[in-house]
Amino acid sequence: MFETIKELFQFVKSRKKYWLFPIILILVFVGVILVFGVSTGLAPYIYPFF
Amino acid sequence: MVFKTIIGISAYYHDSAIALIINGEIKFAAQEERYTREKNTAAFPFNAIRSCLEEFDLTLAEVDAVVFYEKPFLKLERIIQNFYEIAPNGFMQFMPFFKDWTAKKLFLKNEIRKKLREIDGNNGHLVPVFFSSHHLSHAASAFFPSPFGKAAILTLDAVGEWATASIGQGDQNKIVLEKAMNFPNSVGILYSSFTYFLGFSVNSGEYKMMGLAPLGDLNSDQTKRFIAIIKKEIVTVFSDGSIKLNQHYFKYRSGLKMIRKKRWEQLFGAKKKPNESFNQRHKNIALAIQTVLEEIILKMAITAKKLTGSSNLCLAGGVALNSVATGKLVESKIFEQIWIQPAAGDAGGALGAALAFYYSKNDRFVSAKDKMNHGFIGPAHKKSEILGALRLKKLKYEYFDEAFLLNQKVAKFLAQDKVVGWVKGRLEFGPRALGGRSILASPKSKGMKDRINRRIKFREDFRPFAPVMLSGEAEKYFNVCHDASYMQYVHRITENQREVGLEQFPSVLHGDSSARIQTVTSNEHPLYGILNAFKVQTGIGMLINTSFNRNKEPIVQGLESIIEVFLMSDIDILVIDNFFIKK
Repeated sequence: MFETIKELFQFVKSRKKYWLFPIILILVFVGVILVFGVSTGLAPYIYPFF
Repeated sequence: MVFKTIIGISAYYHDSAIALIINGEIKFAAQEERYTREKNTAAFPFNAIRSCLEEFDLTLAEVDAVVFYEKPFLKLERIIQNFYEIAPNGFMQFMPFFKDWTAKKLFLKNEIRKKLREIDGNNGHLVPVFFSSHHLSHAASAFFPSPFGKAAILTLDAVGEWATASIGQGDQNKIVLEKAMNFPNSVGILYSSFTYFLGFSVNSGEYKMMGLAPLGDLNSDQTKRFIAIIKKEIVTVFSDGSIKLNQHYFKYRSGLKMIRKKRWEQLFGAKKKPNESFNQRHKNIALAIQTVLEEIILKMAITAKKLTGSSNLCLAGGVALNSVATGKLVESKIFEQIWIQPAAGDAGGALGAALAFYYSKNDRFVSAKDKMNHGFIGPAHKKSEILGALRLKKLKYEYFDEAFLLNQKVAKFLAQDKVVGWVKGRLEFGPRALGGRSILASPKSKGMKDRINRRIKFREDFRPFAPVMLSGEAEKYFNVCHDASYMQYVHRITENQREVGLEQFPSVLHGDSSARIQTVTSNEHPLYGILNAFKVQTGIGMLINTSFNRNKEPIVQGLESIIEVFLMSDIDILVIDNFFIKK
């Protein structure tokens, strides 16, 4: 977990897209909360661009 | 640290696969779908890795690095930026993305280590994990195994991280990607959108639409109108081959579908319904988008030539599997020589990732032959395993010590219009059966195409079959003198041989008298002996070669699935290495 956050920070720094970092942190935080709550029923209809 | 033994992995999107490189030599590559029987599986390639380690008696402690075929953070950047740009639209797509990324993809290094640990305990957990970029992986899969010391490189697919196409240059052990086209503009997405509109599955039905296109009428006003509409409304094609998709007609950035159906229906008529048969309008739409795709690829190739000045071109990415377009590219003579990675899709990314990493630290030695071993770099069956499987199913067999005698016998049955399941040596890597796991039949019989489509493959009637032939036949009938050993180019029969072709091999000629040709030149190739034996019997060194599977299933690999498809379909004879089984 900490290794990934460290690498994410290095990535954001190298790309100079600092605005991404808080969004990613929120993603991680909210995602952990939601991870067991969201249905994946939609997933098969999505082309895997994401 | 010395990096000599490298494993490349592609997984979690589609076409999971692995590749093993030792001292720069491609030792092994296989798709996970061949083991799990789930076509285009996205699952982590557990089975392929286990099979590879077993084949080479390796533990993960002996592996110096594992390289994943794309960069997850760069992909995440693109996804977040996309959602940011289209917000508040895209919420429905955002939620499943959210779960997927937070649970797995954001922590991919840990996820891979966890999976490797399940395979080989602490040995797996301690292997260093690296990442290559998606289009660098494609470029490396095309350039490094090629027989070229220097070459232009063109990669084309739906999307990787940001790039959807790139032009680069390979020079010995270096690749420089000089120009890229980025999401949301994508040739792959454009083609897949039409695939969806014509009722095929996105990401697996593209080659079916390519097969439908030659049944369209290029001279009809309708096709010409469709081409004009595509170029006016759907996509702007620039002189360098780059494109801009008109987002007014697309939904893939924000919705759960590729296109805005109603707007497309105003341009092209109704979307094809699931049970509707293909009419001339559908065929003309397929031909129109195929024509536009070819124009884009030729323009990109010209740009690659201008940028690099090279006379060689290497191609990869899913769009490089469009063998009609690549056939036109060869005929255009923009480049003197072209080499396409046979596993051009994301499975090949596993190979490219490993090669890109290896050659970033080691020198490269170029040889006259490519390094793909005719595509046969997957697992093989041991004689004892085959014997065990045949006995288990209580199948009567003959064993031939001499391959020559086996070929003679099989050729005799092929000449009598029997259909043969052909399993020889190592499994081929990539989407096409090249003679390792093939169904073979005579091209001479007019009814053979319908028989195989209806009673063996259980698939659409219009789908053509590709011929494999000795190189002399390719030159004689199709004027093909270039290497076509990986079944990557569609060519039309020459005008003066057209009547002969329709008489001698009608079942491999498509509606426009074209065929996706595979040539065999080497006597090491598993089809060389049988083609020669068939030529002795019939006067023509050519066979139908189609993949050994049923519709919507992956190509067979396990002995159980080989025998099951043999027994449950209309295949008459099964050959597994030197074993001969007749129903």
